[in-house]
Amino acid sequence: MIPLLVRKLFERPLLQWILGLGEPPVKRPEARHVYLRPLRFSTGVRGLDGLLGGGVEVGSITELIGEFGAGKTQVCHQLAVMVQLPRGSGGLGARALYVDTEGTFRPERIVQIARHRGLDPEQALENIVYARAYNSDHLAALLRSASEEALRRNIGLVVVDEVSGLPRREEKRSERVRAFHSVVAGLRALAALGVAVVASRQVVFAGDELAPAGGAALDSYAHRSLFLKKRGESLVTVEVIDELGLGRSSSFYITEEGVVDA
Amino acid sequence: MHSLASRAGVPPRGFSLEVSGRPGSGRRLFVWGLLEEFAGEGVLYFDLVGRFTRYLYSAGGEAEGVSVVYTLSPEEMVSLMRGGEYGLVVLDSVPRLFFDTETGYKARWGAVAQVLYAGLRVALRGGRFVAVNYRSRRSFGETVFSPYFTHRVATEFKEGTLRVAKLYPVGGEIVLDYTWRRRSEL
Repeated sequence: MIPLLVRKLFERPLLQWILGLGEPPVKRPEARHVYLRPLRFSTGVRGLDGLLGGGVEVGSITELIGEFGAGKTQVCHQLAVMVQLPRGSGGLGARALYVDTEGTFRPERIVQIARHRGLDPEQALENIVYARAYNSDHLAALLRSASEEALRRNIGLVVVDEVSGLPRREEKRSERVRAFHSVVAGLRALAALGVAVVASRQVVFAGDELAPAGGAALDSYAHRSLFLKKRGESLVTVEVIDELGLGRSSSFYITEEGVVDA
Repeated sequence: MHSLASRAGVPPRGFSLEVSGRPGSGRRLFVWGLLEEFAGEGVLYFDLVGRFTRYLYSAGGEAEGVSVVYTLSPEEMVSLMRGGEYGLVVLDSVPRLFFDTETGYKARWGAVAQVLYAGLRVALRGGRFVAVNYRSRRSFGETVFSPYFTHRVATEFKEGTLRVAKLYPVGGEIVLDYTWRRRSEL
């Protein structure tokens, strides 16, 4: 019988690898120094990049809050393309994993945006790993498997569009709490791996004001929070509501080519 | 000139303060303002959110006298609070501790209460404890958690102005121009 200590040692990935029993442990170098020299990729909109300190930060969770039609999904589509651009052109030269909880992903938008950004539309679509989540358990399971995918398939961005709806559907309060816990844990694990995580979030009425859906359960789960408000046919204003840039704002247009500066 | 703490109605020492607000209400700006006042006496900051760490690095790196801890284990948090002498202990935040702790539904309430009680003990020993909380109509877990606070305030941020409403033990309001935050450095 193998003593417990030896068994414990064999469970460690590094030792397994040395002994030829398993795969080598993989760590993204970006994850370790994310705060010291944060790696970012451009949103394709100067105003948005400015609000985020230069673009979407790798190793962080960035959330896009807004009501239906405010442009959250449009930004998500654009980011799934932008991350594919080479590093010298503002991207990460990486793929995107797109988790869709509302069935709003539109490949034709990816084609339009990719063309405008000078990418081969077919290749751009191939570089997006798409997954549709149907309930909160499914979403949590997808996020868990996303960690493996991120390391295996050069995923630089994980998009979750939208994050609050599925956990809120749970009937029992205790189940809702568990569901929110699993989803946030999944997102945080991905960010800790050195992946840029972007999640959109619906709003609800709190008194006579709009407030992010999910209440306390999703309070401050993201590192950067942007509030999107539609101001006309295609104009959207964005306000930073996290303390790292509180009160700063900018705007963009939603056009056929994607999201562009106002 | 009055300190931020005294303007918010808390005594110089021996308080357990809840700072609550909605997302975008500037809760942390107020807490970071307090932190500046007490950084010289040693600060223990439980950054379960990750924004304070980013703030520190955006301001140039680590701050002298400020220890940032990321643990999610309530037992470790309690042990750290009991084991050291700090000028200020910050829990950021109550909802993240509740929702991110890996345990059953009822045990979550106990886990948070355990940490808040340790914070109250810090206050009873003459220290200072501040917890960041979420607020909609009421603060998150108000019925269960409010006994652990000697003072409670709520923040609201609009057009560059941070308003701090005193909720307990006495009412009132202080208004802060946001520029005070940008001028200051840790």
